[in-house]
Amino acid sequence: MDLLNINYQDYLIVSACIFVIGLVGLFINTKSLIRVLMCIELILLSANINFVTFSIKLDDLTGQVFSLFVLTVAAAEAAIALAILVVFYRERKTIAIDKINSLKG
Amino acid sequence: MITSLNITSAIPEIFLSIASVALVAIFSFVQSKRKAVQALYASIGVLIITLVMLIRNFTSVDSHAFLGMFIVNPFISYAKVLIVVLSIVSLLLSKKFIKMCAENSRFEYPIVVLFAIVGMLVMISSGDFLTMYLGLELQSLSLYVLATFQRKSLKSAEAGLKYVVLGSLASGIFLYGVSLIYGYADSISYKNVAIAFAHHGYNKVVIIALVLVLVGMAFKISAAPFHMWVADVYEGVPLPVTTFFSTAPKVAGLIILLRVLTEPLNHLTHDWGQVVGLLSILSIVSGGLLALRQENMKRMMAYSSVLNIGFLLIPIATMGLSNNVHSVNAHVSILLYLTLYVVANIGVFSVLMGAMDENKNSLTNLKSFSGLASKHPFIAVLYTIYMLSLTGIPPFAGFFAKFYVLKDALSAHLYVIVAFAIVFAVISAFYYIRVIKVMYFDKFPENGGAVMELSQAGLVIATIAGAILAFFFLAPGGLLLDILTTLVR
Repeated sequence: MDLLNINYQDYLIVSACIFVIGLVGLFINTKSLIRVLMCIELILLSANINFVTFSIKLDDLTGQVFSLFVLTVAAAEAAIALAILVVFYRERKTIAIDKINSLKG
Repeated sequence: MITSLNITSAIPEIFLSIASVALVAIFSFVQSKRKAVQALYASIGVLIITLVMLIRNFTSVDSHAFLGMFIVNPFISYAKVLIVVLSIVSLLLSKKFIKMCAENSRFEYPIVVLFAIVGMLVMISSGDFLTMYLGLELQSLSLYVLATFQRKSLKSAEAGLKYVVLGSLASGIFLYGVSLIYGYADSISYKNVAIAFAHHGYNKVVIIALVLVLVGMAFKISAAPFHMWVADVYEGVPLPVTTFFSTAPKVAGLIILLRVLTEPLNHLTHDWGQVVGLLSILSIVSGGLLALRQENMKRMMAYSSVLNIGFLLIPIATMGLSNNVHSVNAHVSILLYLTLYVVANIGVFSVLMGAMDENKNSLTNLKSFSGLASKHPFIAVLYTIYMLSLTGIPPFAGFFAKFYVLKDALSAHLYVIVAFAIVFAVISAFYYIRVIKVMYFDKFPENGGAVMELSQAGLVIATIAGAILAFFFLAPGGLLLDILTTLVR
């Protein structure tokens, strides 16, 4: 099968699957915070696949520009999230999700 | 088609972003023990200049910049001025906190606040989804950093962590919704999206996109059922940061929610009207009930903010369900409610910042206010005014805010929402008035009672906030109301 002849709907289905994997992964994961951050990355990137696909389909460059901005923002977000994770690890000595429990009420 | 860049209407934002980058660069090289306090004064100076520029930029017509990606009109300008004033006030209140951080010579706090403000200002005057997304992210990323600023404290780190995880999840969901809207409408500018919906109608995918966008934004303004982070974040972060969190981002979030719903999505009124109405009822119910058993003032104010967000969503739901997105009354009542709510919030937190125990540790438990009236009668009176205003008892300002919101909803026949709002406003009176009871009727503890040490700025700001709330009804013909109405028209 010629790879270039994939229907654009298939890309949208893949991106919807990645979005759902990210979302479900966030909620069923009870172990590690790193996995949470990975799931959030998945959600952002699934939106990116959408933007690029629509950009090709609609023959409009806006979507590709948008996806470049999203990549930049996702990198900044990951940097800040990891920095906060390090701060938390220094105080709590763990990054297990069930140990994030000092605030309650 | 707008062809010129016309950057004049964006000059306040451009100035603010250049100035905040410059401040980071300058203060990295300053060798001084008072570096942190100097950075604070410099930031306040920059904000005052921005404020002057914003006020000079007031125009009676819409003006566009950057090919329509950036829009300024009087409604947006008012919100911007409100945001900048709130930020100046919360920076003035945070001097003590900054001095405490200065022991490690960390000057970044006021500058990160500046970045957050740039994000908010860009967000609320955005003309397309890209500008809005970038503004939203700049605001959120700065707020995550602010939440974790006290990095030696476990609570602050944990609050920051929860905030960053849930906040980025919300951004991701929002972004996915935007990508679907782009695919359907072949454009990301608000104007063209609205035109596309007007011409081609819409299908189920657009409804999914709408719900995803609304969920993302409801997270940001902490409307129920997406409010689970708000109490933990309010409690964990230092008090000056809580003050900032509970005021400026709420204003920005609500204004952009209103703009996104009434500009690009204005042909889907019936659909988002129902969703916003549901969010509003849920926020009112959960904010009213969850605050009842809180002993910590910060947590109580967090749930009180959920309740108030519920009230603020009522005019938006009214616009949607009565299919009138240009309703002047709804715009005015949102601005009025926001203004009076943030004034009460600033008052509550500015007094709370002065509450210390003997070892200068901050006290936020309700119990530590026992018998406050016997030691500090003036502060007790101020607190009474804030609480009565938040409850909505006339003649205090909060009553008028709630009155206009509910009057509008009643004339649109939204009886269910109004019934919920009134019942839960009465229930919320229990926890607001309990603060007054604790201050006036409980005994001052023999040892370990609260010592109130308000800074001068704190006392002045608390008094002004109290005066605004108490004497709002005296203003001739509802001065603020008239001004707002002229602006919105």
